[in-house]
Amino acid sequence: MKKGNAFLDTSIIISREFGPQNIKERIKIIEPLNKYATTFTKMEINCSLLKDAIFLYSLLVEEKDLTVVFNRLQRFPITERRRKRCLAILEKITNKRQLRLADAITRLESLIRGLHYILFRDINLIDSKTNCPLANMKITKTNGVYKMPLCYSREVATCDLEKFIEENRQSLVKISVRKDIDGKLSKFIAKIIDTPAIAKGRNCSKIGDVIICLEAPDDSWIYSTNISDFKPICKALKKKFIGIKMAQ
Amino acid sequence: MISSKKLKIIEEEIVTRRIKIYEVFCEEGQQIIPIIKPEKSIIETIISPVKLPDRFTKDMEEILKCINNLKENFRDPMLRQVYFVELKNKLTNLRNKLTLAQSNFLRSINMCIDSLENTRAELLNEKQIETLESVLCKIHETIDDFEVDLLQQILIKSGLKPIPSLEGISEFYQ
Repeated sequence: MKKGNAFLDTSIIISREFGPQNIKERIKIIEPLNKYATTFTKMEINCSLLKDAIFLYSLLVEEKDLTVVFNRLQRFPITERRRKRCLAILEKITNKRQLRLADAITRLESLIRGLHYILFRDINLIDSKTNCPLANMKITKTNGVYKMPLCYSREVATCDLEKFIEENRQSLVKISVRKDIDGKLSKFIAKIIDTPAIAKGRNCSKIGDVIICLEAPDDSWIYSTNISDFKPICKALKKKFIGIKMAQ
Repeated sequence: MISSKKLKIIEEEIVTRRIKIYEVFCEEGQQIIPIIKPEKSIIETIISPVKLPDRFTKDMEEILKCINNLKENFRDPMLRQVYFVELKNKLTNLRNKLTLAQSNFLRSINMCIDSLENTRAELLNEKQIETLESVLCKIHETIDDFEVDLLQQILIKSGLKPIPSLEGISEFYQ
């Protein structure tokens, strides 16, 4: 990699496109640079934004009225965090409830089908050493709904995360002993150093930021809006880091 | 991103489909769509314009006329603004006539509207208007989802954003 290359984390990739205007302006500093990212970020986007969009699509095609969709979503048995995200997307794709259901469905469809293309249009993807199969999953549309395998349990996970942890054991030790690292993360890293298999399955998301930092080439600058989590990890790994503040 | 190898496969698939359509049209004794083997750019050759059903032909003609005005007056920023808004309004009028029964057609029109909603007349460049025009020429009532995906990629490549604006949504994904 050449000097000044930008290695983007998931938060930057999403904010570049879907951030508030002032954040987008700040992120413009990476535009002239060669942009890189690990395919692990694709998995993170699949399991968050894309999963929300696919779920919303199924709600929209099932109902005949947008009000019903909003009401259902208010009571749907999902976490509050997820509900807020889905409601925010729904507000956007319906132009604050001004559009028809048919328009919302087709706009959401464009989002689902074009999401990767628009987010990664000018980013060079580096294959993640974790070999996460969820990163390269294709969306399928069958019987009127979109589907994509989005979660593997530890037992059936076919990734190389165990091997990845073993290969990066020393770096992980460096991260886990730092005092400025989040306590929960530090404890979890200590656990996976002993038993790497624990990290597989749903747990891998807990060390997503660590994986991204480990996969960044030494000569590139890691860019993230998640400063509090990335800064100490980058310090531990002696990686170059540029944080972009999300606050107004 | 589509690799050149995949594009080749796509081109072959399109030709095969077009041959099938050609055969059906021949059987029914209707107007025959010329089969053009893709040669140069994917934009120009992969999706040949198909005759629109009568009920939307007038709308599409008006939209194309409007984009032509936009092109011709591109160098005058004030007129460009006027035709830009007119184009958006015409597309919106057409959108309101469509239902989910024409979901791919509706999606294509919404993509064009979103492309315009996500920019401003003064920020548009000539290439983007040309791309939009070429995309609009390829939209028809029976367009399939695969073709719409290609049109979406063409619009994205030109720097337009044919998806709904999700500005500010990133804060929920930190």
